[in-house]
Amino acid sequence: MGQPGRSADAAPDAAPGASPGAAARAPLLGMLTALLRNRLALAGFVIVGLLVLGALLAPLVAPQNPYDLSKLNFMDGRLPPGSMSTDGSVYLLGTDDQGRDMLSAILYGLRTSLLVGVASAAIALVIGAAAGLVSAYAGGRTDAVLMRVVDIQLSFPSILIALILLAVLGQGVSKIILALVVTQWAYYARTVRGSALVESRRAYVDAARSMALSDRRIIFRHILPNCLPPLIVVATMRVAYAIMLEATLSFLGIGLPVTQPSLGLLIANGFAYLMSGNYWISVFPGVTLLLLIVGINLIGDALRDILNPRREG
Amino acid sequence: MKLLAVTALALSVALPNPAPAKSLTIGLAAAATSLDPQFYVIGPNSALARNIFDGLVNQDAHQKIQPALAISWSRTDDTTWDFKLRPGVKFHDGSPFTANDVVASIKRVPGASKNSPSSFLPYVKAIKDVVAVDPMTVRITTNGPAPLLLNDLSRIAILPASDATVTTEQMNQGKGVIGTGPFKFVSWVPEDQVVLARNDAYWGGKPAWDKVTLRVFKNDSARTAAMLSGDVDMIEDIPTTDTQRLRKDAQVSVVNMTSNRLMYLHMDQGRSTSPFAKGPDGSNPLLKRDVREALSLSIDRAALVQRIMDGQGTPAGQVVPDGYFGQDPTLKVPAYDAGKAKALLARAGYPHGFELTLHASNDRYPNDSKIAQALGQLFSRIGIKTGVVTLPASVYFSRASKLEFSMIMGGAAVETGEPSGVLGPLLETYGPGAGQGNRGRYSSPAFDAALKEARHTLDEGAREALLRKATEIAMHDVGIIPLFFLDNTWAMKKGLSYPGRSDGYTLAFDVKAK
Repeated sequence: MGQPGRSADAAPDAAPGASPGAAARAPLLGMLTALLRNRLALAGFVIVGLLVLGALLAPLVAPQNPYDLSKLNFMDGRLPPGSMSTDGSVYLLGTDDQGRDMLSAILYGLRTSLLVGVASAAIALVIGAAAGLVSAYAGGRTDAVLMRVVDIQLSFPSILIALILLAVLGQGVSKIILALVVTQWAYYARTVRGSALVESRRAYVDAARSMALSDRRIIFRHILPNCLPPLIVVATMRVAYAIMLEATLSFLGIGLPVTQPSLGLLIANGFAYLMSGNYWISVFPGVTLLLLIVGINLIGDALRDILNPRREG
Repeated sequence: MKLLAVTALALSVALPNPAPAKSLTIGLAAAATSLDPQFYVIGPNSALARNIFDGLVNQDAHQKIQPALAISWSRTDDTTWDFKLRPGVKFHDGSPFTANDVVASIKRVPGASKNSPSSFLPYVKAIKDVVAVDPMTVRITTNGPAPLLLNDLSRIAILPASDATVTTEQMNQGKGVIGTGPFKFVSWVPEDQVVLARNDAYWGGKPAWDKVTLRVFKNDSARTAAMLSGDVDMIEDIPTTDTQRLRKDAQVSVVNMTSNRLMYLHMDQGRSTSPFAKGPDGSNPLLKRDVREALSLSIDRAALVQRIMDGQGTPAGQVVPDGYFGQDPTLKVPAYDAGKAKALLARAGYPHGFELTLHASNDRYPNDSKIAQALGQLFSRIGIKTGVVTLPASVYFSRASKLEFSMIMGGAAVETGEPSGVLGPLLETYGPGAGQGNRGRYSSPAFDAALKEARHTLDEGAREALLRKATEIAMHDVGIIPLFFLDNTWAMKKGLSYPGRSDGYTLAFDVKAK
């Protein structure tokens, strides 16, 4: 799908002036240039880009592998930023209570946060979008059942669902991703269903039906591309939310193993030392998490503006 | 008597400035769940009860038995004990204390155990009968020799006989909360605070405080903050992370006391293959004594206490701290020796280590998760590929009991003030009514025999020798790895003093103004 928009075999929209999705006229490239022209979005891109780069290159650039217990020395624990280690290297951002280099721990923690955030958002998007499309297209009882499930799920706080799931499943990256998918798919389902309901009543869908195209083709080639703009915006925001949720779960001590701290766990570790003045254990991972969330949200906001059909109307 | 009163009156008139009412506010770490001292065996309840009630005997700061409501006792044969009661003691309601109160109090225990999560029944299990010989003498007969009878009795609060039918619910409403202790009960707001007033007639001397308020701050930071801001005069259980801060504060003094809680590691010694300890051939390396000793030697206990616990601990080489009955002076804390540990591993056939996962709780003991990670570092340094997994206590302990792990960290408190209270649950061969906390399934017939004999030996000297023998066998086998004893800590305003207690109780009577 090179261009999100109506396929060639769809009939032109009969309703004059109606915009079945601004993205239909704006190719991805156009969207991107619009984004880059937006200063805030650009700032978001730079921040997120740098953090992603740091996370990807962590094994190469980090001074220490913070996940390797034999590389740590708790005698170096809680050293302030700029301290020398027992073997002569410098801890730029200090160390935590286990003697982990904070810079390394943050870079590795970012990897976990991003992996969990992006993977869970992507999987939830696929599942949620499929459910939403089916719900909208099939209507009737299927729609009712699916949407009641979504209603029930959305009425529970996602943190609660995730807590219960993790208590049952145990620790681990794959389990936390699963828990986040379960808590998030409903948002996508609802968003997609909304757009798909509107789209499926449009003339081009009637036209496609009249050409006896298969349901699957109509759903995925005709309706789905036109539901993408809101979906992209929701997905961006949800990635940020998933990262925050993971941090919260880790902060509560039930997400990831303690020997592989993500940003949330690092903040939790340092939290207890704040009164003793060892601020760096919590503050640096906290700032990193903040930057990541703000960066993603800046991009998301700009996307919403650009993809908003009324803006161009 | 009259003369005394007149003199007192004259004195009070003569004093130019009568001392202002002295009150003491203490920040506690946990709330008592009931005012009934015979309902639930749990630290906060027992600590509160000790401010209001006495036993026939009490445990001192090192859990040694001291005369309290009984001033002396003698044994006429192996199962018959006579207790002489302290004369002239009055309950808070003014009624005199007599043998009938002791009989009624001990007989109330089964009734008060109703719906109790952990009742006092074990402490009266050894008692066959209790009778009042005369108003100042009580005779207790036991089912067989009961060397721990005094310890058991120190747990049983003495209430007036009129309380015999008072229920736990009524006590929780403030009815019948009457003891002989240093403070009278005034009010209780569950989960929040207890107010106590001085018992001027206390047999142990007049308490220094007119009014004592015990406030509960479950949150560690809130408790520390209350101390630093001066909201309270004293707090118990300083979070290790705030120790530095409080020690630096010129207005605060800090008291440390080695506690009776031992932190230890259990290792799976009951199976040829273990889920989280695997040698290259898949077998369980922890079965080998050399491996267990290597693990023990790889632990730098002093550094662990200093860095991870901020000094709030005492390295351990056995199950009871110094000064306890049955402590073995010949057993030293194993000295950190990574070189020897590696050599032992090689000798046991693991020159390149093996795979091990250490499981620990993350919300049960102070810094449990951090200790586990530091242990992971130490084991990694001698070449053992170590993983560390920490779990909430609610999940951890039940899974540990199902033997789902290979090496686990736990804490055990020496409730009895002597080693059998830890040796029995942790190291005795697992079976019905024995070794129920033995999650490593260590088993040694010689150890079991020595322990069993100690349980039925009334002669203190012989019993102590047997307990030492049992301890030596288990420590030589490295049946468990003792890590350290947690320290109990208190912080108080400069000008106050508290001697500290190994059982961690905060007793207002012992808080003195300098």
